[in-house]
Amino acid sequence: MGAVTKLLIANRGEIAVRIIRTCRMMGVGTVAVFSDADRGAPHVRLADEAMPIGPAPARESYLLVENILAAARATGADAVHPGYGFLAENAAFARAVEAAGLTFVGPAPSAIETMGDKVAARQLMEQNGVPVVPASGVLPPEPAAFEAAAATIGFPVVIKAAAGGGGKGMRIVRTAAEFATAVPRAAREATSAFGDGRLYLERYLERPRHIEVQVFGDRHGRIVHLGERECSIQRRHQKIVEETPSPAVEAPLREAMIAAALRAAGAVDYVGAGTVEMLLAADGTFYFLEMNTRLQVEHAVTEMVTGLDLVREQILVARGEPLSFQESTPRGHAIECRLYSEDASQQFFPATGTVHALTEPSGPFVRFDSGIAEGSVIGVEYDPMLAKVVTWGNTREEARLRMLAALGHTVVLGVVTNRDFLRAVVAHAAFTAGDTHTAFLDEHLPDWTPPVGPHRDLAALAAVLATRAPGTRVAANQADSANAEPSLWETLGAWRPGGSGP
Amino acid sequence: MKHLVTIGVDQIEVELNGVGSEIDARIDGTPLHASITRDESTWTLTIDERPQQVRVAHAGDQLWVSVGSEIYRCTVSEEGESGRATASLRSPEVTAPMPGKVIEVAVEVGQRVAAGDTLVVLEAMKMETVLTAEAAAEVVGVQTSAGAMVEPGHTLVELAFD
Repeated sequence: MGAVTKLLIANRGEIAVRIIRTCRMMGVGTVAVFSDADRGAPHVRLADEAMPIGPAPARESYLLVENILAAARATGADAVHPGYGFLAENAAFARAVEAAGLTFVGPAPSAIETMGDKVAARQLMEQNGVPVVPASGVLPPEPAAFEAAAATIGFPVVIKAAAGGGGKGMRIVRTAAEFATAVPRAAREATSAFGDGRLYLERYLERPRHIEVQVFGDRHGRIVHLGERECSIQRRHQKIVEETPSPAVEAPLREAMIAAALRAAGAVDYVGAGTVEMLLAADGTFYFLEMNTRLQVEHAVTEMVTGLDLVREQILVARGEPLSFQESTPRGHAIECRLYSEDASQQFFPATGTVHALTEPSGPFVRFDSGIAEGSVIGVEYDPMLAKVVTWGNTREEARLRMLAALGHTVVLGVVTNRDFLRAVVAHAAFTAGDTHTAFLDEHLPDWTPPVGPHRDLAALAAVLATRAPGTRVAANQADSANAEPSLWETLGAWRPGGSGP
Repeated sequence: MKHLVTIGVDQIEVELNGVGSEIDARIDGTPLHASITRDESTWTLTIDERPQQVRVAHAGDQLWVSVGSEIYRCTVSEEGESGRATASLRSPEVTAPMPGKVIEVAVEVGQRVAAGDTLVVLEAMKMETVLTAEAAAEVVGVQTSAGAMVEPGHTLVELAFD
């Protein structure tokens, strides 16, 4: 508990931008930190001050605790917000922030630690009457150990990283023979992603829904919930479409899931914003998956239906103030789509490039949380999420139709994005019907290919016109794409109305 | 002059005659008359009184074009120039789809592979991705090794399909 008058945001991209926005509204000063790759990034431009923290690789910048604390000292920041990802669920970082006399905008390090150890968290949940999926403890990284554990748990199973999250290190295994390759691969991924290769095994539920409950605790002993979100649409075990409320959760089930989530948060005396993730099986049973001790990417949908600003509440709680609301009554329905730089027709491979042109969606009940601007270079160093498109409606269908329109108005030129794939998801009859589960994409859109629109010929004509335009720089000159280059519009004199041709 | 525009696997022939704000073109032989105006960063191409908002951006040797909500990636070549061959869906060269690190090369030259067999495991952005054979083939070349950093387009494995 302490002062939050000048907040250092230990993150980048859309979440850094989004946190800065709330700080401005609250009159809190902001310090951005940036790697060499992010020198001109929107979060750097928006913050009151910005400090370099190292080279492009995250482990030499955004993950380097000393550099972030040094930036806080140099700028006189009195608080640190970790955002999500990077150091957000690193208890040692939270402790180091507090040891440096700064306010950590997040839960107590002990809560991060307990929930961060997925095996310890499961045990604590079981003790507190929160249902958990059958699983092993941490296993030695040998296929035989996994085979033995699977015999008890029953196939299919999923290998998970003990330090895990975000789908990294996860492998679904359906037969014992697969362990020989799956175990070393999962261990490598876990080591690379978390610096911790410990693995365990869990029963794999077929076609479950991913439902999570937003919880919020303050330092006055209150822990409240802000309803559930459904995040079942996932690729590579990572969410791409989220919504609230869940189309599958009705009153008695909702109460049971929320009660379980509050027990989970209460077990660690949770303070701040947290999310209890659960799997909801087709038979209506649900299981604790994990608790994320941070703000979630998809917190925006909760904000849309509650009218609350969760970052503001986080800052209030960090200052030791009570939550600003007694209870929240959600209104309407909100959907979020994550815009990624990736090729959905090529196994969702991350795509790189420069954002040469960007049109953002706008209009009533449309929110665009973005970390990019024209000129942004999208590299391989960081998570490929560019922005989030969020829409609200009185009903789910209203929000869904608004989302389809908003995605259509989201135009990024220069980098392949998953926009058209997201549109295909949101337009799909099964999504429309609310029939969503974690195997949705494999089942409904396994061989998706980008659509060819009705104006392909016009695009070809425009391409030729652009190539022929006098003064247009040739391709070879464009290689240094990191530098701002004159846009085509500045070089297309001959195309003014009535202008003379070449 | 005739131009060939490649969009995905399609090639479109664009013949441009009039230029200026009024354009006479033939697209795959079909005549098209359009007028063009420029407003800030957006063109308006008007055909049969129907305006379309168009944006164009250069990125390397590609042109990105948006027409309303539609997005296209195009390459333009002059006719007679060695036009880009239409990409075969079953490419004999397995290339890196993005920059990354080779974690494992699962095949060697001379080995037979079936559709779906693992060829190379790549790591990028902390995720491992498995590149598999698209159909039964013989491995005729391996151009990388575990630990190598590769750029997009870098050939990893060459296959001779049955």
